[in-house]
Amino acid sequence: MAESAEGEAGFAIHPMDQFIVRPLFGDGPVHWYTVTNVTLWMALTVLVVSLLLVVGSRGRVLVPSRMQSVAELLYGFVYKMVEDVAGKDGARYFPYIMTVFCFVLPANVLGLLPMSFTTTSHIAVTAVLAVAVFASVTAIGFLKHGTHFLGLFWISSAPLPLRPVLAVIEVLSYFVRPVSHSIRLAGNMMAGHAVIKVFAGFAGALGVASVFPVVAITAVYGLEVLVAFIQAYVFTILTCVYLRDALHPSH
Amino acid sequence: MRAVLALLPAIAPGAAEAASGPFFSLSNTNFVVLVAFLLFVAVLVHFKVPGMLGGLLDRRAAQIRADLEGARALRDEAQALVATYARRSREVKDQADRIVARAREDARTAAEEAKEELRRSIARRLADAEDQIRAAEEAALREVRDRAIVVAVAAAGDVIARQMTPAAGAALIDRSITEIGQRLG
Repeated sequence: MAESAEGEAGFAIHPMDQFIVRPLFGDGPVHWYTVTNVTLWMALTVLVVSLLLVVGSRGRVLVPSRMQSVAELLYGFVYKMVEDVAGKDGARYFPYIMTVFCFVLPANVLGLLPMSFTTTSHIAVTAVLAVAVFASVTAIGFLKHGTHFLGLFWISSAPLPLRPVLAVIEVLSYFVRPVSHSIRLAGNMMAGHAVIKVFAGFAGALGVASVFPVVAITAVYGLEVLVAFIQAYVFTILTCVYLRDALHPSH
Repeated sequence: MRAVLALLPAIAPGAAEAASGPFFSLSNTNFVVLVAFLLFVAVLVHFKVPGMLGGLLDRRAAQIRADLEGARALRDEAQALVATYARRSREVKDQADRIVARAREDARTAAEEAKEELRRSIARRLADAEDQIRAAEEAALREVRDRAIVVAVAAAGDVIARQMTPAAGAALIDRSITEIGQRLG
């Protein structure tokens, strides 16, 4: 298929090229220590969050500036989410969830910039986040409740004959969590960016009519802004839900 | 999986080509995306979305400022109230102190007056008693004197009656008559 695309001059669409990890300096193989475009955009993500939360609210004035207001709203939003979903005792784990949200959201938003690299579109990145959440939540569950945590899989409100079946399903779904958790975010981010690139690829071949793909990309941009926020929100709220399961395993 | 891996190098040169080609060309997808992005931003600016967001933040700041003002006003009010009550309590305390002092003073004067009264009444009674004693003494003296006179008269009568003979008696009566006659004459 790649061959046929190359065959038609000027209609070579490579929507997935934007996701290739490349060394930032020079060329060559990517080692674990190689500074790549992923490194750059992750650093930019950290920089943006630091600017917003550290520099933006440096004044710590009572009547907030705009930047401080944004930082406060971000904090309040995540805190309320943790408290509402995971409960009052879940607020102890607020820093972790705030960190997750403060990484995913700017990474998603920065990915919207043209020619940028969307770090959260890589399953490698989201899987690390999701596995970290999975592992820590499971650890919290066992540390807090010991073997009672396994009650999460033994639904005592169901009829007894059904319980073993449900237990199997529950265990399976529990272990699928990190997979769905990571693929949901990465898939959404990747799909939107790929669609944008596909539309952009049409532009080269359409001449004057390329205004249509440009407008379409603009529309997709609107959608992508929503997706960037919603997926960050979904990722974070799922973390809260998993945390709640760990804190209160009995249904 | 292996097929995908094999494809990767095939895609990579194409990407490099796209990146190194002329940027301001519709064949360059990066350029197209940039144009669309700028258009998106322009649409946002046209519908005054940044202004709206800024307005929201400003309104939040204004709200917080208003809340702070309200809280400060409330605190001032409360402090004024506290000051009023403190003053009133101080006044009442002063008043109570004054009342206590006056009561103590009154009690002291009353006690002194009572002592004085007692002393006076004792003196009066003493004087009364002395008067009575004196009167009793006088009465006794008078009685003794009266009794003495009675006794003396009786004794004199007895003596005279024993010494008196009828002749002497008649002589005495005569002498008395003459004496009276001389005195009256």
